[in-house]
Amino acid sequence: MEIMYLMIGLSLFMAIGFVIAFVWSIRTGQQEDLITPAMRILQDDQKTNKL
Amino acid sequence: MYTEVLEEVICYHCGDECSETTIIHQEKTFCCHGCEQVYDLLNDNHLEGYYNCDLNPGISPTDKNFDFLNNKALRDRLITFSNADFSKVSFHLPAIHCRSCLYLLENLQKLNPQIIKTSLNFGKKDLTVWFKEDLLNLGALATLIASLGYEPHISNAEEKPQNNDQKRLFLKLGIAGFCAGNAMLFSFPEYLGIDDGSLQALFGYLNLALGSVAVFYSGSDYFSHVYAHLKLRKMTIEIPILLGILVGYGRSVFEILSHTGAGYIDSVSGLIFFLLIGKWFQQKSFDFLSFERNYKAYFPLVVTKIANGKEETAPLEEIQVRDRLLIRNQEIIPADAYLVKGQSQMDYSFVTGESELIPIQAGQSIYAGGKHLGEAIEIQISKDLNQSHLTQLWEQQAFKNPNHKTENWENFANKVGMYFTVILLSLATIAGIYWYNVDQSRWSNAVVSILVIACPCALAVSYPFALGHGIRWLAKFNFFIKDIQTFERMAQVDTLVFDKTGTLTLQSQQEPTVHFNRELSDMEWNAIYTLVFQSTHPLSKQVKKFLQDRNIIPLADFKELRSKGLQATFDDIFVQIGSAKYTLNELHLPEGLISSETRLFVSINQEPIGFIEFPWENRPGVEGMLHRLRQLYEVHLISGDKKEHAAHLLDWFENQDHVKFECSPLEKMEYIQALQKQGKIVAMIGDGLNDAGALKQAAVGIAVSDDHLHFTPASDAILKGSELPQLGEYFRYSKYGLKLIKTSFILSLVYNGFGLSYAIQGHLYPLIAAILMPINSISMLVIATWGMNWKGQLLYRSKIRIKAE
Amino acid sequence: MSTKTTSLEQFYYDNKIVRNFSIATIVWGVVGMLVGVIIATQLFAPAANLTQYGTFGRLRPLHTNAVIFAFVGNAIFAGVYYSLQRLLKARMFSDFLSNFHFWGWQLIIVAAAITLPLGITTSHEYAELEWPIDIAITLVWVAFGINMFGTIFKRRERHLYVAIWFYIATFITVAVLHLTNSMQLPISLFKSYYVYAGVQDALIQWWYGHNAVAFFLTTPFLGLMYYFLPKMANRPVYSYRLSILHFWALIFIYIWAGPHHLLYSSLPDWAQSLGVVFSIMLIAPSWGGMINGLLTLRGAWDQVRENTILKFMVVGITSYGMATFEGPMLSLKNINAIAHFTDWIVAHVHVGALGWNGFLTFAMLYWLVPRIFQTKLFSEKLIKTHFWIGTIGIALYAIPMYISGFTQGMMWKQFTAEGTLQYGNFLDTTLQLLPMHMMRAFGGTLYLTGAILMAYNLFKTMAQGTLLANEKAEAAPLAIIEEKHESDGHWHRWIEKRPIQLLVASLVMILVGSLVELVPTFMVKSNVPTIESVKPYTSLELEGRDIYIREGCVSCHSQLVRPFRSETERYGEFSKSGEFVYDHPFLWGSKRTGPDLHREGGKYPDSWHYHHMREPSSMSPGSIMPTYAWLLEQTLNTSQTQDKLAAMKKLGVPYSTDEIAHAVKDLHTQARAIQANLAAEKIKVSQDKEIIALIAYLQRLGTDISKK
Repeated sequence: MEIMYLMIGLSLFMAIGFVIAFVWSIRTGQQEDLITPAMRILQDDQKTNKL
Repeated sequence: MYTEVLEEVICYHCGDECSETTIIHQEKTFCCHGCEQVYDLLNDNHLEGYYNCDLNPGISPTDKNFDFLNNKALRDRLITFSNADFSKVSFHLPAIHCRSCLYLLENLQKLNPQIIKTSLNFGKKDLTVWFKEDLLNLGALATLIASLGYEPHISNAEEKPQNNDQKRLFLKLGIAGFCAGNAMLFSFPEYLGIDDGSLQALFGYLNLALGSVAVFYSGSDYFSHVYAHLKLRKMTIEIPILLGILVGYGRSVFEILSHTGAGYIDSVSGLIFFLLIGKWFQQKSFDFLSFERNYKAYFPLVVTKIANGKEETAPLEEIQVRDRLLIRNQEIIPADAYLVKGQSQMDYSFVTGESELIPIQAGQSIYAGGKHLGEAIEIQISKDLNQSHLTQLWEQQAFKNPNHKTENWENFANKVGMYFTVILLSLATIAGIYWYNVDQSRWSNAVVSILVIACPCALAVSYPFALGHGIRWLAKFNFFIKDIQTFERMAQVDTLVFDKTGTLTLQSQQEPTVHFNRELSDMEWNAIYTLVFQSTHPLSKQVKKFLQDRNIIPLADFKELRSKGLQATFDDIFVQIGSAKYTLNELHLPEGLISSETRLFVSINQEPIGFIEFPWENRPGVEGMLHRLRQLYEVHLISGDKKEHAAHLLDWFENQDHVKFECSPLEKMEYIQALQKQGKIVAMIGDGLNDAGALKQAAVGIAVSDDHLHFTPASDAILKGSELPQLGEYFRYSKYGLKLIKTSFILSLVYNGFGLSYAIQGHLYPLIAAILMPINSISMLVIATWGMNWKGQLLYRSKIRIKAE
Repeated sequence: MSTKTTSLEQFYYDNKIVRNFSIATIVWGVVGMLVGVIIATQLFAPAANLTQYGTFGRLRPLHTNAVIFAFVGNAIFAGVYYSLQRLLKARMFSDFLSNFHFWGWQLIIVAAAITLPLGITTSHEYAELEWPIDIAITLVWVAFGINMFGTIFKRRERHLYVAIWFYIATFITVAVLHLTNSMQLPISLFKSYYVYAGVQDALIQWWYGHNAVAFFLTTPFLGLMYYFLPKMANRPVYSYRLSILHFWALIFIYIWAGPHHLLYSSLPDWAQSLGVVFSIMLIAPSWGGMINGLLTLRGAWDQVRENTILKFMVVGITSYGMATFEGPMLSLKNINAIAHFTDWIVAHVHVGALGWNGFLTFAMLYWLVPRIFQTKLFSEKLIKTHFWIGTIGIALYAIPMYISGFTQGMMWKQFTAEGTLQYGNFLDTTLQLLPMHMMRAFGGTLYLTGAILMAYNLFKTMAQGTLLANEKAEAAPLAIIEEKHESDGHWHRWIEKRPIQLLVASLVMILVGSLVELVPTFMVKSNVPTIESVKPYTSLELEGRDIYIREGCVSCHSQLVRPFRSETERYGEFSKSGEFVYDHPFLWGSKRTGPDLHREGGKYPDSWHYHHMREPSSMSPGSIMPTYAWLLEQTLNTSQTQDKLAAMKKLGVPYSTDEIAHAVKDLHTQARAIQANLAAEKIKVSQDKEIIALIAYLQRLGTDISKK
């Protein structure tokens, strides 16, 4: 089943890619503030939506 | 325009009820011009969106001026970065509360073009501003923000946020999760009976790689901690854990390299993952609080210096001995000094706890921390702030050594860890020796699986989860606890020591009620006012407040009779105030009413008039609390105050040697030490600087605070004043938490026992280990979470009920 | 405040591209669903198979492609182009790339719509398109990637909102999957063979198949949910922390779960079980998304009552929850034993497609179109109607299919007391299901009607409003607050640089990925247990096989006898992986509308097949198989026969050089033999017709191992 090597290779490859992305996101403080961003996306059309 | 309105009107900006005057502006009502102005400001700059996302989101603004921030020293401390194009500063804005705040504060550049960009951290309530400092100075910026209702809280002590450890933990956690997940993947073929040898080998090596990362990167803290503990010859739960990890890992390395098996990599990395989850969960930080505040925080940032005739503001740091300062009414004395000009009523209650005002005449010396009441005075600094009378307290051992509380204190986990390690090792050795003689092939497997399976990971998981949840729940009740160790120590406390002033008693807010048998003339009122003005008795202090709009009139042959009262003649009338007996009122009153503590009796020209009743001074609900606590704890009261000011409390401390009055901050600290010498585990509940030493000394120091949880001395926990009556319930909750941990631990022992029964026989297959360990950890996690939440819910409901009643 | 020289940069969001993708979504949606209704009808009314270009076998891939890549695909892009710009406070990186992406994608769809009915297909499910189109897809996809990462690079908002993470994951993964599963050796412009064979091909295909679902139908839509749901409800997502958490969990696990599509296949057991385990583990992260979505509406249910758009979201998210729970369940071996090859799977995917993808897309369009056209929605009444018709449609679709699937699975396994199959004749089971299929078609029609209502409603909305092609916005750029100084400045610039590096990394990954895969496949010496007696197909059989592929027989007939008594009883010996070593591509199929054909060889005389193809009901009365009369007329095209064998040889099929040289000659010899057989049965047909080749292939199927 050589194909296994290929698939494992690829999957691992992607997985590692994601790990790198993860490390980056932590290192650069992307995930430091996990409260404000959720609220911030609602800001741009603040004027339009009345409560 | 102004209009008088009768029905209750809500301010469009801040939502407060517009009390007497209401301003109507653009069909909207405002409670004050401040609110009106903010509204206009926002409208003119097309920020009306502010009012869309929340109803009346505003805070009525302060006109406080922050120009003092422009002072070089302060400015340099606050500005975190600056270059030719812009400067960067972060403010802490306690008033932030809703999405409107976010909207407004992140649109500041619309209000002032010199502001380049703003970024808000809602959790921390911190606003970072990038602005053109050459065109807009720091003071103006802060003033602008304050004028919107968000008064920056600028603390004296530099509080640097330290989130690097957090980051590192996240990284380790994520990586561990990745390794565990994939290691499991690569181990399965083994369990499922893979036939393909070359693949098997490949999986093995991949596992090894993942495992190594998990152990040596994600698990690195365990190495350093264990090393640190061993250096101190101290036991910790982490020792058997690390042992398990290492043995499991080592065995795996051997098996994989020798192609004799798949090893335990998946179990090991999984374990590390769970442990890190626990670690991550236990570190709940309350970014908006500071548990480490020293006396500096209470002093003004800047003071008014008088140099060769003219006044100038200077930051506190720059003050030196022999400087002359101008101190206005209600301002705090920044350092030991002596009065040069004017006279003062000095209020030391915050630093010493005594509620009487001390009259100070020119030439007399005054101590740092005192609050000046009266006309502005001039003082000359006699001691450098750091050697002042007040700050001696901070020279004490307790302050020198930050972690003295944890030093000679074994937490449950570590205590267990010790026994555990011993038992584990002996078990392993016995089994090892046994098999070595019976069946050579099995001994290593037996030893390994014992050490792997029996490692007390369950405890290491349930411990942080239970305590972490505990902290979170109590925070819901405005009881903020520094760390889980504090929470655990709370459970062990057997003695509670209360401070009086500000903790159990409050400067009463309500108006006194007058019970006179006739109307008094203005002249007579003025006479009473003048009379009390001569006295420093706490009651007098309140009468002063009560009658402040009266004025002083000339008086003759004034006399003060200790513990009786005062008397003086005003032209033709002779006025006495004081105890019922002294003012002859007692004849006209039933027995019970003649307690002098909260009533000031008056007689004019020997004719009893009646009395002024002052509301009870105790914090609402404390009696009930003390009553309940007495059943479970040894309760003490220490106060810097005089005994007679605490009469209405004494009944709750039956045992006379459990109360101590007129003690200095230092004595309070020694009082705690004394109790500790008797082997008691003490919790100190106090509020002011005068309790700082005691709070520091006690196993658990709880600071009670009323104003936005801001001014609290260094402590382990901060409790909102209004929550004090529930204190007992909170202590019981902590006890429950520890019980829960112990139960869950017993349960995990059963698991381990099961695993061990295999292990000892020398045939524990990696698969069983791989299944047993996560089940174990997860179930511990569930028990801890569920248990604490259940109890927390109960607590919550009961609180609701109490609130309702 | 005198000088109004603010630091704010003014820029414009590109709404035109959003509109384009939205329109494409609507149009292709209706088309795709229409085709769906047609093929649904064909499953109980064979007469609905019009001409050879309109048979179920050819239209089914058209339906799946149209719905997945045209409808859902365009919806994703519309949503991404709308949200990405706003989340990053920047216009798309390049308008040219945006348009290239748009028109390129539409061209690809058109190409698919033409080639698939023509029978130009690779027969890999959801990857049927032939190699030139595959290349086009790759180009467009890379363009999309550059455009996305370019925008991230020039963003004005430092934080990457969770939705963007989902978009990034989608881009990278889909790229790798697409490349891996498109490794074909071209023979001509419209014909190619997969480099992998049999089991290995199957594994790759379903690794792709599963992850296509994961990363084309799930992650991007979770991203969209995390942007649009808070917007619609005007409240922040319930727990942002949870969203981040379940993103990483999903990403770290999803990739592994492929093999569960091949349970009981000839795939090694451990690989199968692996698929199962990881599919089960998927529940957690998948539900993380659902819970977070529903809890976001916590305390806003009164809003939901008023707001139809939110209703769509609620149903959509709930369907997601159901589908992601059902998926792992289906991967449990014992459930799979019943459900696989039946309508159950069809129900499962449609709950996901109609509920999750469909309804989320509808909600998104209803919310987004009025906004970019600066107007109110044309008709509230119509949207309400759409919601109810749609919901009922899903119910009427799913429920009958579940019943049908379960019935079918049970009937196949039903034994009599004597130990013989209760329904020995496969047709009996098929006929049982016709009512369900009719109901399903009805449900589908309802759903389609809803979609048409939406189309009308939205186009009216566009007509009454005016497109705000370039929406003005302002924000301060990140660059101007970049802390340019030695000590702590560097990591800021690092942030700014990162997207480019991510882009490069992803491209490199794709390249290396495709290299990594080429290496083993070209030096394949498969250690799949080869069986002596298994020989390559003859040239005629190979041509027959290609007709089998062209006609899409694989969409109704599996070629995989699973190791159950019920199946060996019905079809014969269960399939061994060694039997497929020359199958480029594999033809195991995923659905048994008709019986399995792996042991078809020699079951019936040639004449039976001849008549059966001419008029199926003549051989098996009531059969819902369409007629293939044209096979009797059309002459077999042998112009490429030689190249085909040569190509196969390249891929490791042991054809000798003179086998290849005489390919056509051999073909005719074998054809004449079959012609003779037929003649014996009084069937006059010339030996150069396609039917001959097909018969040859069918008669060969699964016969090798019985040869001694």
